[in-house]
Amino acid sequence: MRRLATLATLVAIATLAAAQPAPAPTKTPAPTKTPAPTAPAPAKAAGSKAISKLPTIEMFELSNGLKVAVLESAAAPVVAVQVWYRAGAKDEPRNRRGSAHMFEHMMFKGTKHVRAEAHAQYVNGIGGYVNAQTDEDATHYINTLPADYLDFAIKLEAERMRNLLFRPEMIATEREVVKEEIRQQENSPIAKGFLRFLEVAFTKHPYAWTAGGNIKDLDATASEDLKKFYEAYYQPNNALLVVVGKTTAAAVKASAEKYFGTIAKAPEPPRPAAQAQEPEQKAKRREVVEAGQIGLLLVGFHIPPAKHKDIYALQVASIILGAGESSRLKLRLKAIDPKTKKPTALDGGMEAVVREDPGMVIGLGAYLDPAQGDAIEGAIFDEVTKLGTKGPSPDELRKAKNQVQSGFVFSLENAQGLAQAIGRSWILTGDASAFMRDVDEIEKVSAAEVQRVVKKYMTPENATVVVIPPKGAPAPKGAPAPKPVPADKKPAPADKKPAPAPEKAPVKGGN
Amino acid sequence: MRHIALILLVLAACGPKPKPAPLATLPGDGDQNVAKPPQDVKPTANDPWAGKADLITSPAPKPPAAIELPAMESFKLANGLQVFVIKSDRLPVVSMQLAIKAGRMHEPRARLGVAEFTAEMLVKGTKRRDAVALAKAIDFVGGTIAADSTFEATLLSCSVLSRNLGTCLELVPEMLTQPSFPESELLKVREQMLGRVRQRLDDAGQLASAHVQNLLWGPEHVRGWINNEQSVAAIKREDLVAWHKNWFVPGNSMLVVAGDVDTKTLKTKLETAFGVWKKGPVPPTPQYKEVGLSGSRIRLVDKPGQTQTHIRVAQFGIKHEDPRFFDSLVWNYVLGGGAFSSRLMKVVRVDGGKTYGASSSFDRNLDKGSFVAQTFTRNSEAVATTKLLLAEISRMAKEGPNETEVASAIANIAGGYGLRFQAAADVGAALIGAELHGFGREYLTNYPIAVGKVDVESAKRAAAEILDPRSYVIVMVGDAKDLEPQLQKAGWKYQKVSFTDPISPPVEVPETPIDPKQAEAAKKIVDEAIAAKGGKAKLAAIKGFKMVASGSTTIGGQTVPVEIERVLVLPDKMRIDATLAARVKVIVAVDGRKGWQLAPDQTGQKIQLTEIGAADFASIDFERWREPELILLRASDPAARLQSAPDETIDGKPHSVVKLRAPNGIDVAVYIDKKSKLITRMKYAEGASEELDQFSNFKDVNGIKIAHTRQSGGQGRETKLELKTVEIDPKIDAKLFEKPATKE
Repeated sequence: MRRLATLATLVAIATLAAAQPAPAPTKTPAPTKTPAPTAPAPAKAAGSKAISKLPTIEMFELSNGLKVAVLESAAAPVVAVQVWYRAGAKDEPRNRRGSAHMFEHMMFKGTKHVRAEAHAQYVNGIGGYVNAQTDEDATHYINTLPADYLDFAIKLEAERMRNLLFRPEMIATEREVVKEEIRQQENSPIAKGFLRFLEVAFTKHPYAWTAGGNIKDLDATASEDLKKFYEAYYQPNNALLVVVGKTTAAAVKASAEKYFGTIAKAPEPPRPAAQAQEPEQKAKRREVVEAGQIGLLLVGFHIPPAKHKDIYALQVASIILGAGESSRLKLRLKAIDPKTKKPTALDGGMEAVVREDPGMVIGLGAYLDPAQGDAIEGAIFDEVTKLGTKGPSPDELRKAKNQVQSGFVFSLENAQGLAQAIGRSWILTGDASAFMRDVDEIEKVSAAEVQRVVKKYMTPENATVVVIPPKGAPAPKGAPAPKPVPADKKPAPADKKPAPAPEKAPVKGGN
Repeated sequence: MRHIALILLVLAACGPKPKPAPLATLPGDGDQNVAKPPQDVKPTANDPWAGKADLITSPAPKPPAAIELPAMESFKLANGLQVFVIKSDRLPVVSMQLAIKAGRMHEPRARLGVAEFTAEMLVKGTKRRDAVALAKAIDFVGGTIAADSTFEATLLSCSVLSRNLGTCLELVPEMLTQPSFPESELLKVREQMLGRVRQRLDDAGQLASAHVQNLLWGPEHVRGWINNEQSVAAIKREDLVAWHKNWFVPGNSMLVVAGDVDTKTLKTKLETAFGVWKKGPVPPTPQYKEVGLSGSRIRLVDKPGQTQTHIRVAQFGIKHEDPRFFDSLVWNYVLGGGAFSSRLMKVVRVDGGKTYGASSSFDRNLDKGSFVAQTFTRNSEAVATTKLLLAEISRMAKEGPNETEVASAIANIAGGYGLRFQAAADVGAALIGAELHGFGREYLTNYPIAVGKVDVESAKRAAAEILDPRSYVIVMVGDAKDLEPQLQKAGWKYQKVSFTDPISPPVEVPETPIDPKQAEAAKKIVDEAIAAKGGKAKLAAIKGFKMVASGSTTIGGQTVPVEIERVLVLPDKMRIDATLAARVKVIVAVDGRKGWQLAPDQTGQKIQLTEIGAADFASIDFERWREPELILLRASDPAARLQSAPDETIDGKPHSVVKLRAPNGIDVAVYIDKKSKLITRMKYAEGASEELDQFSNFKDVNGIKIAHTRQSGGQGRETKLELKTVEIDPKIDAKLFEKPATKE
């Protein structure tokens, strides 16, 4: 694993790239990674002065309520065609956790006019890439393919929106597949710890669980449950078709009307999460869970939903605290502890997990030394307090805004990523082009605003702390003993130094 | 053990004491929720699509065609650095990617991980800027800098908005040519590398991938060497410095600049920026003997508690330049590279329901790499799933792919190739990948055409030649109590290891040999210093001494006057009586492995008598070994690894420098004035902090020169002392070292 479990990894655990695991390691020609600039949640990365002319998103709506967003980008002969359904884990019944994701698998299992697996095979067979992802707020279906096949991709997506077949043996087998996908979490203390973190943080709202759900509920999920979910949520008025790439809005409109136009509008689907609003947290919550090889300490604060005006300032705050190696938390957590002469943590950071319903801003530290847990927890709260009390420096504020700006520009490079940003924007705010304006909104955030939101939301009473302790150094077994580490304390007796005995060092005590 | 640590942690938690938390579990965890494996599902007799006329059909794929790439320029800088420029002004971004042909394949056995370590350290400090300054510089413009190493190369990349190209031009050459490898950052990177090694124990997939390489290549081949905690600890700063010096030369590297650049001015800017990078010889690449494989071997890695088993089946693969490379892309796509279009996915996941993912791949390297098929499944299906993998490999070897499958593979690989090049940086990265293996731009543009030339015959032939259904290695990482019965029932012989065992055996880590010239030079310096101090005979005859000194010590900004009397009786008795601020008395005494201390307690009111703990003796021993009057005598001990270091000028005076290694592994640098031949300072790094001792005002005591003015500091402390009296071999009452009967 090249990087330690970062928040991005944790969030990836929570939102499963369901249909297909990461493409088989074909050891692509590129040994380098395409750089991932620091940026907040994609929906909030936005338009910028760095580019003189923002790309435009053409929006229209069919009479059956299907929304369509098109961004013309002639860079490469590629087109990204995605359908975003406002259907996620938070729409699941509490005893059917994981069913939205399991349903997502069913979307590949055959329709009236397309054999099982054929959707993926067809798209692969014309040089394209297929996948799907379920998270708490949405399920989206990804097709990235040569631009010539735009019409065909839209046809396939329209086909499965309403023509899915439900075949018992398919369901039985696919249930086992999904269970194996989830079972991976069972064997990872960090995954388990993060899932527990969500349960502690959310006592009523469905964000207490992730799209993966759990094996017991999956075993209980029958064909009827899946059909019910399909009928309620997989309707044109609950979906957004996003197309980004070498195409025209006119071409997309023509294909959308041709294939989606015949589908009837449906009633608005139920929103169980609306009856399960998370009550205000009144006191700090804290839990210690099963240890892992690497320890992870999570500190989360509840924040408002994506549409709330305070979200921009909160994002700036989380960037200042935890994005980039020179951010406050990274510097603080990775600094050498004078007592142990080692870094307090291996790594740390903070991220604003902005959702359609109220989400969280989560700070974290990864560590190897069990004794450092308290210091890490203390450091996170301390840095939050400092930011709330004194606010950011002008340089830090400018840096954060530059990071957002740069992140936005880089996000325009890739059709699939850009399509996802558009889809996410719609899910979070109802406006597919909202994210294009976010850089300008972030630019307006003042130091005082940052202070205000930190003081308002990032309080101990609003904090959930979950500690996944590290197991500590394994007992050596047969291997040659490691070089003795010099005693980590004390000035020792010598003619030049005062008496030893560190903790009780008289000089320290006296002074 | 783990539970105790957890309970202790809970009890130690700060804040309101929680109820001891039950170890968190997810509902549905554990074996009781494992459904019975699905019965062998026969394809439905009732095929809902049979005979239907209105099924949606796919459009035909386009014939493979060359892809369009942006214009490229290529040139060499004066220092021999190969540069490629890819211009694309679609977006105002630019990336610099620099590849140095130094990776894991070049590492010596005893220094596994040095490539990765060095790469990570590049961004952690230069002679001009420390890690924080570097981070601030790139973060401020919203850019990213990354340094990684792979099997074949080290990659340093910088991505910024094009208006900030100057930042990359400034930082990248600086990181490349003047890394400072600061100790405090070394520590952090070492901890992170250690973390990654430990994390592997929680990740059966990673364990499986590492074990299968070790099992396939064996202990004599670099691909079979897997790092562990010991190998991480074995890498010292001098190794990083040497690795960087040897491998990071322009002739061994290439640079790609891609994006929105002004090609007219770029070359000059690069010449200026990278001009500081001096030419150097390119070291030879280590060669390894070909390894053979016959028969099959199975390694069971027992990880108790695993509910899923991770499975790897591996054989040898091919070199990138193998004429069967594109044929292999095709048969591998059909076998397991093509996701839902692959046989493995169909058999193991879709039909079998055994897994979420099954795939196969082969390495694309200069030298022959491996071919690995992989999957994971619930424990009860481990052997059955492995059999499926083996059956499909065997089938591919015997029958090859069919026409339809080949056409589909070509359509996907050739048709989808252009999708990879949306960002200018993607093109840059792909170019580096090609150039590292001796291919050029045409390799990329014609890639789809090369794929298109594959046909059923050539793919079948390649599969038959490369895949061997009888010789392979298998690794299973899972709970042995579930796996052994299955393996025994199948009649499969296997080797069982524990997941905590090192994957490749720990190695006797030889010290980096000392240059004999440096050892010789150091001996001369030390001999002269001993002579100047009073001569070997006199120094060796010292049995002890008593020193009385006064001065001050500064801690946390506060300066306190101090009076000290120190008595040393060799080999291992010592006592210090100190008076601080004229009122606080502290006594420390050590006699062999025992010691005691009289000092004020936390409140500062009461004097407390405490034992010196075993853990403190490491520090005491180090102090003893470093005794300034005696340290020169340590030099003759081979374990001290005496060697010379470059001369330094201190306060305008030239000094010789020698290095000695203490028994606790810390290196001490001793600075000897070239004129007086006396030691004027000693320096060492303990963890991240550096300690410096300074000596001056030498006076003769019984024919031995002793520094009467001493200063020591580090970590925010500073102590200055003037010796008032020095007695050599005084008469000492043994009672001095005895622990007092009562607290005073």
